[in-house]
Amino acid sequence: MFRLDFFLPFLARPRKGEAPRAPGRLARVARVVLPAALFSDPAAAKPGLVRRALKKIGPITAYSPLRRAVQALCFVLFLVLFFHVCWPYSAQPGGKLELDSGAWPAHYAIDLDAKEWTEAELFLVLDPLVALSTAVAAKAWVWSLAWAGGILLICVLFPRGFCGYLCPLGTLIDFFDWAIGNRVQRFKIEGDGWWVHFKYYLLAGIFLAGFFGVLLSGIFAAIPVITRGFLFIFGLLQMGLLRGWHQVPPLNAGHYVSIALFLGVLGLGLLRKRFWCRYVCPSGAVFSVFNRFRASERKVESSCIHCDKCIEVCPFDAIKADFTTRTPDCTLCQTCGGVCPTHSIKFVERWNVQDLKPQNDPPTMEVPLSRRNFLYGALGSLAAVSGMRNVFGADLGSSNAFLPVRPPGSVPEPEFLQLCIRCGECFKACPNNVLQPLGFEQGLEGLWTPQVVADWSGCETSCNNCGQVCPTGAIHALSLEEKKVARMGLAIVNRETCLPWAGKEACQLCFDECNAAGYRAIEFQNVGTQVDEEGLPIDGSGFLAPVVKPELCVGCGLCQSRCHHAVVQLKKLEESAIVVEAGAGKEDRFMQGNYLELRAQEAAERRRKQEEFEKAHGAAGDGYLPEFLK
Amino acid sequence: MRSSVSSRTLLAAALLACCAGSAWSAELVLTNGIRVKGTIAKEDANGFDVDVGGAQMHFDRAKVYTVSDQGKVRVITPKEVAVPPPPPPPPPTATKAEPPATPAKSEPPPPAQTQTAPPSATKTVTRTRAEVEALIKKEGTSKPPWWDQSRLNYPQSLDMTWPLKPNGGWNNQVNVGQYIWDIVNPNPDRWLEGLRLVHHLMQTHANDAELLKRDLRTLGSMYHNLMEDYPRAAWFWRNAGANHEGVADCYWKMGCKEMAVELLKQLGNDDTRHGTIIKLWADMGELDTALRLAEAKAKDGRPEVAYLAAGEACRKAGQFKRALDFFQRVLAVQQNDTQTRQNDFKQTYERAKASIEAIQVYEMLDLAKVRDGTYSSDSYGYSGQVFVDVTVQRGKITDVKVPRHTERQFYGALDNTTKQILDKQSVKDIDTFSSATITSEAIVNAAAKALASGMK
Repeated sequence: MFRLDFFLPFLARPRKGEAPRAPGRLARVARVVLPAALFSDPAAAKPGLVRRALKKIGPITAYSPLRRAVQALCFVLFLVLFFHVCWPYSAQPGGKLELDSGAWPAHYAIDLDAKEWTEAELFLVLDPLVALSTAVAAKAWVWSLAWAGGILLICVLFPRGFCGYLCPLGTLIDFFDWAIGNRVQRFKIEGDGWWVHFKYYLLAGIFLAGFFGVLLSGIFAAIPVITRGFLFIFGLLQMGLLRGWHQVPPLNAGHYVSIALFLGVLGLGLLRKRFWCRYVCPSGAVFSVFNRFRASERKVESSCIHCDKCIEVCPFDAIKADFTTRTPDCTLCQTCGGVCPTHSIKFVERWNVQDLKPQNDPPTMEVPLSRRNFLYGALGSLAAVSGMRNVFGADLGSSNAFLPVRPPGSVPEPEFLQLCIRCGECFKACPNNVLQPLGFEQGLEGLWTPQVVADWSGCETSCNNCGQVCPTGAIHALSLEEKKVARMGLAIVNRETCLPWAGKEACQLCFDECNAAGYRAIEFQNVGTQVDEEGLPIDGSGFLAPVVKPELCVGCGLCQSRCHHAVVQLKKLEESAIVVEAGAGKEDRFMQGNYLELRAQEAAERRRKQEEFEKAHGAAGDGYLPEFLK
Repeated sequence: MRSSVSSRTLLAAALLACCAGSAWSAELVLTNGIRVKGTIAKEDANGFDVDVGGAQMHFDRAKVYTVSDQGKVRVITPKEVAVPPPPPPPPPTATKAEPPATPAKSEPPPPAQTQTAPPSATKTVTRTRAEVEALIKKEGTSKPPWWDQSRLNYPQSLDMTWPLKPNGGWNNQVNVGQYIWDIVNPNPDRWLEGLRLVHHLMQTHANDAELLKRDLRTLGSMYHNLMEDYPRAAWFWRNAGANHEGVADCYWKMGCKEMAVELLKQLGNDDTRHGTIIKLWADMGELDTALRLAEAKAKDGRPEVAYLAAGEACRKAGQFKRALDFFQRVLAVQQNDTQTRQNDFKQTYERAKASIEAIQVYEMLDLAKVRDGTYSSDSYGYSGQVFVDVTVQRGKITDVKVPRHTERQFYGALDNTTKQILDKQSVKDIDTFSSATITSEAIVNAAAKALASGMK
């Protein structure tokens, strides 16, 4: 019905005793236009320059160049999205666009908007496990489910094609295996065991835990693993080299665990090539499961001469001992088709039965999926659920729960922990590293989730990047207008330590910072006013001390950052005297809603109360002058 | 989206310009100091219809100070000090857009970024005695324009009886006067509600003459110091029977020197804490009288204040040598007595020192010789250093900013003074902002020093 390997006959040598095929129209044109040396000479069986060059790179490139080209393109695209699009520092304050947009600065938002010709989080939303697992855990619609559906639909034609063609982690592992894995033989393992199906048990465990509201996929899903690994290694390098090492925030346990996991994933290549992808990766397992709906697959015709070449070259170990296909693992990379000396391998519709070679010849000795192992997986995941809940959990119900300040527009904390896939994309797009990963402060449940570290820096007024790059909607993609009024916390002044409140010295750094940012959420109160003999206040006595206006403060942390950098680093204080706190009444978080509307409602409520107050306490008439003075 | 909005605006403006024929793009300066940029669609006897960023606004002629008319500036309604300034000026350090200080108005608010400093205290009109009296009566007995947009708001904990002498110690959540001092005065956003509070309390004091007098006096001070609303300040002060130098200042600001002189003559010698009477005489150009009063005040036991005021008077009149002499005399005065005095004394001493420095650079200052660039300096203000950044390009002052200061109250001076320096392209002959002389002077001194540091 259809063939997906149309390019292979041009790559493969002609079968023995068969005349070479007549070149197609395109090939004929190419032969006229391009130098002859590039082309192979089929008559003399002499490879041309192109073929020799491809062979130099490796057999897989030689036998399936299209796949390698797609892989390379996708990997470059991943790097561009990661290092260029999610690099906020190309923003130009005060550019023409910004001036047009009004007085509120918008350069970070404009910059990302201009660079984001495609979703910055493209590969994250293409990883179906990201959307599926978060949707199951939060029991909510996740916008990237549409992308996951799209890629799974494409995989009807290219089952597991994602792993072979698109996945940047797969490409990186291919590279690692080529560069290191193939050269180190001492850790290689022989034979198959129960673990060849580990990814299914892991996937089942992830969904079971997700069903109970605990999100485990953040640790294992392919694209979050590579995004986080890149972030904590190359992202920090980019920061240090281009912006200065003082801009790199200190690493915590979360960083180290993530880096170790990333290196571990690569290191699995020492056991067997693409070990991670074949046996462990739960994202790959999703494709393997959806493989049941495939429309196309690899078939072997009876002309097979049992030469073993395809088994040797298959990067995914997807060919059984009888040369037929382990369909759940086959990525349709088509390398085997290129290497087959007898052209016995075809990539055709699933129902094709034309001229097939008999199965189980020789016997395949496949390791069956084990019910027992599914049970172990389930038990393991239930143990994880219970462990997360009781021992390593965020413990949100407790009165002394650790409540980090979340990015602006975050969903409520329980849902946040279920929706945040811990990919780290928001950290990458956040100017000045306001957002940093949690370590184990909130148990295992909060590991790698973003928190606002206002001691390090405050949330930029002109930026709404974190919501724009979040692949799951754990952070709403707010417009800048809305982000401006999204309350992520409330600044609290410590009156014991704040320099003017404590009567030590004049200081108005937080006030200046808040005004300069345009929030105007801090006002003054004169404290320590002295009086003269008549009880009248003395000009200039006491200090002007900051008072936060809760209705205007959004918890951006600019004040805290200013206090920390100026006062704390001068060793006048142990810690910032104005600190942004999260928690009920100090932040606004919802699954669905609009911050602008919320603020408008609050303003209306305040107005109503004000009118009531004036009614209760106001004077008769307009109140300007009493009658007798008029 | 942002760019499309602006292009739509441009398109609309262009269409308007083509279709109407008479439409032109212009800048209006309103009498309250606000600048509006837009396309004038129509001008008639009533006023202007202006398209501002896509929104149609109407401005009465009476509210428009000037309009730029194809390159020329026409004055529509001469600026009068009688028109109260816009609601509280924004604190000076805010450089980005700010939400309006008052709740939404019925009038369309002008774009925030075009808002400028309150009108300068520069006198542009003179009035006869009768005109001033009529103005005081008219304004004083009618509510100010911001009244209906302001709110009555105060902590429930306030002691609404507001006795003359507060009970107990200092508590700004209980005692009204202390609440105003600690919380209203430092926050321009609270000035209007502070005024509303005092008006409100005055209603309840109809039967107590002493309390009523205190209320009226408080209102006078607030209208004068915070709002620069001189007719109302004079009205309330006079009704409180407080015919002091503040009222004279109001007369002068309203454009009637005659009344100011008459009142000041009645007051005689300067017994004020900061030499306000001497300063007012100097402001009016009466240097001899100012110096005579200063000599008297020096004999009276406050030589440092007297000499400082005399020095400033000479400086204002351009007599720098004499000014230097007076400032040197301040430095020679020996410190003495109570705590209040010590505070004042230190301030006076520092100000004299700062003025000496400034005068020394005045002499050599030549704007044409200042290299392009931004220069910073500082001087001693009301309660500490005031820092000023001045930017010069091709011999012109293009920007004056106060990036840092520790001034307590009366922020108006910060905007007003920097604007004057820009407008006059000079640090000489700047009218100090009446209720914040010290801050104004500090800005001028710092700006002079900054400019001098940039000379070739």
